[in-house]
This record gives sequence, C-alpha cells and structure tokens, in this order.
Amino acid sequence: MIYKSGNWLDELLSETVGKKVCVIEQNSAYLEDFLIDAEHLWQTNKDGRIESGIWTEQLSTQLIRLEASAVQADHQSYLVVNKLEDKYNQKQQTLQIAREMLLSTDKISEQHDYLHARLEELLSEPNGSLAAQQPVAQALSQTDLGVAILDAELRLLNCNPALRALFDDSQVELDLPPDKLILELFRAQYPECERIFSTASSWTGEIYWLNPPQQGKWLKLSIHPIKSETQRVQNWLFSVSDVTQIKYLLRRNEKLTHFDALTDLPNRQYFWQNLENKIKQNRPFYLLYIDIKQFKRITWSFGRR
Amino acid sequence: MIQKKICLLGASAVGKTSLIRQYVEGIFSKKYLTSIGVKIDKKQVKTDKQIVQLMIWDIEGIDRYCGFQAKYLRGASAFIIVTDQTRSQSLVEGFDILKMVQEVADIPGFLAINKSDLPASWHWSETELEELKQSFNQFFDTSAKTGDGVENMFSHIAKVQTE
Ligand SMILES: Nc1nc2c(ncn2[C@@H]2O[C@H](COP(=O)(O)OP(=O)(O)OP(=O)(O)O)[C@@H](O)[C@H]2O)c(=O)[nH]1
Ligand SMILES: [Mg+2]
Repeated sequence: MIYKSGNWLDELLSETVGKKVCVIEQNSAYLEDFLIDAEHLWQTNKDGRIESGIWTEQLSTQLIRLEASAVQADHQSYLVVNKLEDKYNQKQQTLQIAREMLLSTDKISEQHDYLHARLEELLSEPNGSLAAQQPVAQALSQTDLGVAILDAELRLLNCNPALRALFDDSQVELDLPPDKLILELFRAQYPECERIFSTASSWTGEIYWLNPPQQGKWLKLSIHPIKSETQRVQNWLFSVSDVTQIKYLLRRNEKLTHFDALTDLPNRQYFWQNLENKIKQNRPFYLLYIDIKQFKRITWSFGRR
Repeated sequence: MIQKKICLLGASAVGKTSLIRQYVEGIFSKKYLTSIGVKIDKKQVKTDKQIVQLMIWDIEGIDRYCGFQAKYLRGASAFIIVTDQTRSQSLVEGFDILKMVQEVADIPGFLAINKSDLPASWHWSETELEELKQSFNQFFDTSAKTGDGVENMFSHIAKVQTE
C-alpha cells in the first residue's frame, strides 16, 4: 500500500502514481541501493528499523534532500521516505561552519610549517650574521605570518611588517615592542615557558592578548630553536598568526550544536556534556529536574517555522 | 549500455563536488558549500567498445565530523580519492581513506590531485608523493576550476571499465 504527501514523490517515483501496489523502478539509484538493506531487514521478519542516511535528488525544478527508513514491526514491512527541510538546513549550517574552520586551521598550520622549514634551511647555512641575509629578509617581508628572529639570549634581531601589523592598533599605545610583548604574554600564560627555552624545545600554542577597549586577540604562536651543527641554539624563531576568527567560528559552531534554535536555550546535548563534566570532577552534586508539562505544544506550533 | 558506479572520496573541501559539477555540467563555483550525505550524478561516456553510463557518487567529505562509511562502496566498480594540492593534510587523509577502502573493496582506485590551477602545497616531497601514487592504479592532476584533466580522468576510468 502506498501513502504519500507532496508531489515530489510523484516525480521521484513516478511508478507509484495512481497505484496501490507497484515495483520501484530505477529512478533513484540511492533508494534502490538502500532497498537491498531494507529487504534484508524485512525478510528476517524481526522487528527493527534501519536508516538510509541523507541523500540529494535533483528533480526537474528542485533539489530535494531525503532520508529513508525501513521498518519491520508486527509482521508488517514499511518504507518511509522523508523529505528534509529544517533538519537538513541545520545540519548543513553547522557542518559548513565546522568545515570552514578546519580549513582555516589547516591553512595556518601549513603556513607555519612552511615558514619554519624554509627559515630553518636558510638560517642554518653557515655564513655569519643571519639577520642580514638577503633571502631571509625577503621571505619575511612577503609572508603574512608575523615573524620575529631572536638570538640565543632572546634579543630581537629581525621582525617583519606582518608581526608589527598584528599588534598595530591605533587605539592602544604599546609600551613594549611586539617581540617583548609576545614573550611577556607567553611567560604570563604558560608556566612551562622557561623550560622551553632552557631545554631548547619547540612549542606551539595559543596566547591571548587583551587590548581594551578592543575585543582582544587570540594568537597562534610557534617557537622554534634553530641550532648550529654542534646542536647549540643559535636563534629563536617566533611565528605568530591571528586565530581570533577561528575561535569565533568555533564558538558559533558550539552555539549551533548546543543551543536550541527555537528558544535559544541550552539543549539536550549541552545538558549531557555539562553533566559529564560535572561527573568527571568526582564531587557530589545535586541535579534538579524540572519537567514543563505540555511544552510539546510550543515546539509543535512554533518549531516548524 | 553498461552502468558503472564510481565513488568520489576524500577529506572535506578538496573539490569532490566541484569535479563532478565541472564534468557533468561544465560549471565551477568559487563558493564552498559543504555536502551532506550523498548525491548521485549520471553521465554517459562513449568508449571505443561501448557506451558506459557512469553513476558518480559524490560522498560527504570524510573528516572528524563524518566518518568513512563502507556501505557507500557496495557495487562500486572504481573509486577516486580526491586530494587538494594546496593542503598537504588532505593527502595524508587521502592515504588513510585508501587504506580503509582497501579493507572492504577490491576495485581499481584512482588519485585526483585537485586544484592544479593553484600553487602546490609546500611540503609534499617528491618521494612521498611517488610512494603514494604507486598505491593507485593511476593518478591525475585536475582542476575543477579550469577543467584541466577532469574529462580525461573520468573517460579514462570509463575506458578501464570496458576492458
Ligand atoms: N582554485 C580551485 N578551487 C577549487 C577547485 N576545486 C574546488 N575548489 C574550491 O574548493 C572549495 C571546496 O570545493 P567542493 O567541491 O565543495 O569540495 P568537496 O570536496 O565537495 O567538499 P565537501 O562536500 O565538504 O566534502 C570550493 O570553494 C571550490 O570552489 C579547483 O580545482 N581549483
Ligand atoms: Mg561536496
């Protein structure tokens, strides 16, 4: 028996038009593939349900998003094909942001890695004062990554325009040059700082620069020692990029996944995550559970818009 | 006419959807719109021997938000792993995906090194790349933007299907 609503199904599965019983033809390759699993389920005659996962179909005038389930219940077999709207859009939006964020992160680390590799190569060439080396200076002036080169005692030898631009803010009078400011932020925010320098290790992480009345900036900082052939530290290389935007996207993404779109209230996922965090703390706590009666009515009447 | 299912796999934003769009419709869009789930496009290819109808499965990018789903490969005749030559991370991920595919399917695999219109990523060493290419039946440099190498890749795959 076939029940349907909406004429998209007539177009997708035209063989069902005007029929009570039919054989599904080859209009939707995805659905056809899903029917293999569905038939398996139906043949077992055990109650159960499987989902197809989301797919897209191009009809003559519209692009539709679908999701099917096959159900076996009380010796009856069902195939349900749902046309998704809100659910799809919400998922798409969330993943869009999440993936754009992955991309920016990839791009920034790619730049950092590249720069380190290049500079390490240039700086380890055995000819005297590195800061004066033409290729280094050129590479530095062109990159949009902030870079500072320091000597073994952490005195600045060279820094590029991009680094100055990161801290350039007409509203704030800087009382320290950028390299000193970075060091200060690093020392204040990361206790392991001294160990990095004393053991000549590399470090990558994020530092926060609060610059009222501005918003504050998140900076990705990489610190690399550059060693001579005898393994003595000759220079320190700092590279810095602004990741505030990524942080912001991350937060927006969390907001999308943890807050209800209709009421803007924290949702179930948020609740479970918080509960888990609480439990991890291993301390007794109270949980107050309030059930709002008939709240479904609100979701039903406003939730579909 | 024979029908062949081809799956496009790869990390997100490497250009799977764009490659198919370029191949099927001849269109390229700069804007990134991430895919959810699966979309299947069809295209007929005339090879020397016969006409092949390619059923091209565009599968959501495999990343920390969406895992590898072996079920999408059922009945596939070949797969293409797409990588983005401006992001070396996508190559590493492509290699991981290859291993997962090889565990579940014994079908020809192709490597698309996409975005060839852009400068290549900085640290793919030639030897690493060589090793990777060896793991595939064939590799193609493609640009979904200019169309370079795109038609060639799909028709080659169609041709292999008729041999
Ligand atoms: N310059 C250039 N950009 C490309 C090329 N191919 C894709 N892009 C761009 O890269 C971005 C991602 O392309 P998509 O085709 O959506 O990537 P995808 O692999 O389908 O991504 P997901 O669906 O998220 O897994 C878009 O902004 C495209 O415009 C190319 O060959 N050259
Ligand atoms: Mg896509």
